[in-house]
Order: sequence, then C-alpha cells, then structure tokens
Amino acid sequence: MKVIAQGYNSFETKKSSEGEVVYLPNPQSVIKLIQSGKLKEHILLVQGGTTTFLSPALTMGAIGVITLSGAPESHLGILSREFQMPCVMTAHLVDSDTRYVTGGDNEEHFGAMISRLQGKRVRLDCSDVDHGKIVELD
Amino acid sequence: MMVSGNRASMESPPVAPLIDDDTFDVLNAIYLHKMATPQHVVEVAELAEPEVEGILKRQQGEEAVIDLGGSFVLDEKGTAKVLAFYREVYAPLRAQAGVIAWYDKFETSLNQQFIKAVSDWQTSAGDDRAREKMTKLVERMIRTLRQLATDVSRYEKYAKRFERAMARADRGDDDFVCKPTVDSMHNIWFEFHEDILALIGRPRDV
Repeated sequence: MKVIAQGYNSFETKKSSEGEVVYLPNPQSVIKLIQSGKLKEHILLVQGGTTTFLSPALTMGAIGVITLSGAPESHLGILSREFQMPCVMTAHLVDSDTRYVTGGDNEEHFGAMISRLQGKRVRLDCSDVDHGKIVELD
Repeated sequence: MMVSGNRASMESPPVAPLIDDDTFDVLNAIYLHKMATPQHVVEVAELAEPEVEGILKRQQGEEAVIDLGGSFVLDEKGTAKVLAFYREVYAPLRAQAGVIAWYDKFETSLNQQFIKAVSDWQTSAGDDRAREKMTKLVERMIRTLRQLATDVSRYEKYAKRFERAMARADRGDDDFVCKPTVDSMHNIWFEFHEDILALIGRPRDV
C-alpha cells in the first residue's frame, strides 16, 4: 500500500472508504453505474468540485469521491459533509509536479490523473484536518 | 418584460417549445434536483399527484426520464427538452440587461456569502450564529427573488419554499438547514442556482 495522490480533505473523518476508482465524465455514466448495482464498490472520480450530475450517486449511497478541481466549499464538498462520505478534492499525484491551475488549461493534468487512477483499487484516508490521501491497495 | 407563468407575454416573439408548461415543470423539477421522487415534483411544481404521475409515465415512454427505483432522473432526451424550453421561452429575458445584472450580482455577492455560511455552519457543528447568518442571507434572497419574480412569476415558488424551510429550521429542525434529501434552505438555493443559470443560458462554473 502506498499513497499515490492527495488533495484537500472535505472533512475530517475516521471513516475509510475502499473501492475501485471509476471516472464519471457525464450524467449518463452516473446513471449506468447506479443501474449496474455496483455503485458501492467504487470510488467516484470526477473533474469538477461542482459536478452537479453526481448528486444521484450520492443520494444512492456512494462511498467516496475524488475531484480534480474545487475546494471543500464547493458543491461536492458541502454534499460530502452532509452525507458523511469521504471526499478528496483537487487531487494531485504525489510523484508528479503537475497541479490543477484555476482558469488554466488543465487537460493534460486531468488526463494524467484519470489515467493513473482509473481502475485502481484505493482507500481514501481522510483522517487529517486539511489533506486527504489516496492510498493504492495491493 | 413580464413573463406570465412559464411563457413570455404576447409582446414577445412567438415561441414554440417542444413541451407544454406542465411537462416542463415536471421535467425541470428533476433537472434542478438531479434525481427526484414524484412527491418532490408534486411539491415544487405545485401540480396534482395524478397529473405528475401521468407526465412521468409518458416521458418514461419517450425515454426522457428513467425510473431508478422510485426516484426519477433525466435521460439525454429529457435534458434536451428542458434546455430547449429554457432557450425558447426565456430568449427575451436573456436579452435583458436587468436580468443579467441581477444574476451577476447574485453570483458574485449573495451566492458566495451563502456558500461560505453553509460551510461555516457544517464545520461548526451547527453553531447558532452560523445558522443565523444563513437565515439572514435567505431573507435577503427572498426579497431579491421577489424583484425577479416580476419577470419570472414561477420564481415566487422559490420564495415560498424558502419561507417554509426557514420556519422548519427556526423550530429546531436542523435537517431544513442543509440536508440534501429534504427541501432544506441549501437544497432550494442549489435548485434556484441551477434554474437561473439555465434561464440565462450560462454553464455552471465547475
């Protein structure tokens, strides 16, 4: 097990979520995941901290979320605290210098993040006040 | 320019939305909430339950909505219908500087303050002062919403919903401050934010 990425922690919790990371780019992918019956087996990866189309997944019992942008005050930060669901925001890879830049061209950064995280089994460690960690499981 | 109900007045260019007003109200309730029970749709659209159920059944047949075990989400066709209605019916308002100025002020001032107040309330474990701050912002929101309701009459429904949520929260029911699964102050605020963005045709900043 090793920490592969980290970001802002939406809220401090001892709850530790484990699952396979799945990138959800649009509302249809969220609906498909819910219909598969495997929602709770996944950690949900989305691009924005204000990804409103994720709401049905949160209502249906999602276990954890990773965002590539946004702050704990963002929409998903607020919802994660209400649902008490671990959420790591504006995650970046610990072995890379690239970071999300507000208002910048982040396509390459997002692509690298999605490529590294998609399909991996991870645990979200949100026990720190400020930082959430994404731990790759063996 | 006054927009009576959902539609523009006779002074506006003729519009031909693909869906009628009631169908819009039902689909829009789902669009704004992202996933909604028929009961939620009945409450926010102010339509009778059999009417809502009939519309949902028809729209399901047209592959515009999907039933996820008693809660409904929009499929791509449903979202397209809702956005087409916004485009057609609210085109005159999109051209009005006053509405755009109202939105810009809401986005940069009131909305920023409200989101901070919500986060403060959540992270202070329900501190009374944080809740009072939220309540004051909602009261301001109701006043300013009623100014906009002269142009978009259905926005009066948001003012009423805010008043109901505030009353429940004032009686000590903290669920009505921020809980996403009830018609809380934050939930209503979120839905209105989605609504005004669709009305003026701007994407949400993600």
